[in-house]
Amino acid sequence: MSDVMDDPSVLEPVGGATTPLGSGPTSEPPTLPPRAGRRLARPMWWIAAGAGVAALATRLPLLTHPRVLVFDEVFYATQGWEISRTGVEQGLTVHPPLAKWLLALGIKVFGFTPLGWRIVPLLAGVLVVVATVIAAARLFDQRGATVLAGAVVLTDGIAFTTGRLALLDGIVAAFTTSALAVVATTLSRPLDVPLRRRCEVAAALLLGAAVACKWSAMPLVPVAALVIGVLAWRAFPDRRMRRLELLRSLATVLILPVSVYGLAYVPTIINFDESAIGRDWCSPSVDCTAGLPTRLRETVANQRSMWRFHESLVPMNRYAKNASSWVFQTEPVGLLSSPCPSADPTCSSDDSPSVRRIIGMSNPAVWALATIALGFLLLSSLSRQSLRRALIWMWAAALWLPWIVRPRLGWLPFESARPGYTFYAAPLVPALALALAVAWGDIRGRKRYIIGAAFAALLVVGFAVLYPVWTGLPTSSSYLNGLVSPGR
Amino acid sequence: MCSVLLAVTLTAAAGGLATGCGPKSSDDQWAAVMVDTCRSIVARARLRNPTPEELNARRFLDERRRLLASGRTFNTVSAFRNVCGAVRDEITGKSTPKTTLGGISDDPAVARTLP
Repeated sequence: MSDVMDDPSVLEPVGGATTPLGSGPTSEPPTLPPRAGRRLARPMWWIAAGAGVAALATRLPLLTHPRVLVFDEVFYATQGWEISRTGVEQGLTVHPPLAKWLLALGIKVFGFTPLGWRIVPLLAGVLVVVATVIAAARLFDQRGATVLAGAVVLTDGIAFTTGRLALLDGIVAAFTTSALAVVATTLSRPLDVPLRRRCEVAAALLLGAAVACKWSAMPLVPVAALVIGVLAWRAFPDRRMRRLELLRSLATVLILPVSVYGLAYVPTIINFDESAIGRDWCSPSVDCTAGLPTRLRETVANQRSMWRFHESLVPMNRYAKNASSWVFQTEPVGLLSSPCPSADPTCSSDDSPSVRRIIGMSNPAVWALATIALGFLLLSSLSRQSLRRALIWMWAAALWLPWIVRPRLGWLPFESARPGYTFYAAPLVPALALALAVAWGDIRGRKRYIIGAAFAALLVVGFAVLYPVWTGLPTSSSYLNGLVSPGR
Repeated sequence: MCSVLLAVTLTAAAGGLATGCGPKSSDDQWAAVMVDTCRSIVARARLRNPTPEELNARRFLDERRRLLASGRTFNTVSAFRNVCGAVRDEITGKSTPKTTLGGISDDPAVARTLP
């Protein structure tokens, strides 16, 4: 098993000399591997399809309940509705528009109904599960680890709740996880230059789309650039060719996301007069006809406003906590808590008054183990010089650390980051799942199966216990008290 | 695989920009959802059920029109907050607390004073 996990592609390139990560050039031009190896093995596709169907089957029931806007749906579903009518958000915006455009697509098709504003997050959540399985298959080429990675995301509460509500984070996760699968694909065939070039473009577009949904995906761009840059550097023996290839790759990975981000604002520029930016610009003047330069200038100025907003924001909501609390899920977000109407016969309970709650929390035991697995991955990636392992922990670090600490000038070069909500972790879940899969894959002998079975039981029990508070099923108000007590 | 993911992404993006199909989501549909959402928040606060005079779609529609006509930047949830806050005030006879309305994060809202 450890052979599979030890990055055979980096330590032992197919058809080339053995070259540890980051070492000097190979003596011969790399030989391209056979084309057939580009395809995933059929069992992996079956695993991916099965995981997607399971995600749909578990998340679709009760999707339209509650029939009211839940937590920040009141912002994003409303903005999606505005976009579906006018092509632009009419109120103040503090996030880029792409995710809201996708919400608008669902609203356009199904109307301003719960199905309309939740259908795109549902599909995004299914994509997260499928893309995680594909990433695992590409990185490990091992069925057990692939199934385990998919099962973790499938049964995770953050992935589950963000995959059913009109929040931005589930959509961001769909783009970032797809990008992760793409980077994993190029890592699985590091000497296949045409494949890598296509994957560079795909990863850059997907990351650009993620950032065009929410800025929190931005730290992933340098991570992808680093991994792809290392592969580009190692692709050719000739020094000049290497430099050119590295430059070309970095230009692709760094410039394309900016282009996608800019494209996401084209509708805002076209429908400038209807937007908050346009109204803000127009109000003091008499002639409100904005030319293209004005529209561009004001849209850029809006980016600065958004930055200042996030810089100065001090969330007053009791659920906003530092992301270090995510490890044990001690501060989950209460997304909904609604007493059951007395007229609702499905809502009765014998022991105490019933409530419907939706809580953005995961199985704490799984997250604690995943955090340990990330630490293990960090060490093993260094000792084994494994770029595959490094990709997973760097991906997780890029999505988690900015919510824990932020840099500053002073004797201590960092300070506590501004508080966030547990559902901000949606794009992080696939990286945790991959870390757990690698750690499990490194266990040898019979212990591996025993631990695997115990972990599977942990996932199933956690899913069954927490399912009612992920979906808003009626429970007694004392259900899981102590464990599930958001914002305490 | 890369091509498939790329195609899915581009199709989704193109679909998002193509807004020419599907049912029209009207102002009334939006206002009805606001009424239901406000009613659930009032229930969560364990207040009495608001009467149709206190909580109705017209109040949300009027408030949204007022905000749009003001020519000023407004928060996406301003119409909802203003009306639902007023409904709570009317029921309780007290001023609305500055905390959030029943589980809406203050993330995009609190740092500015908006109409």
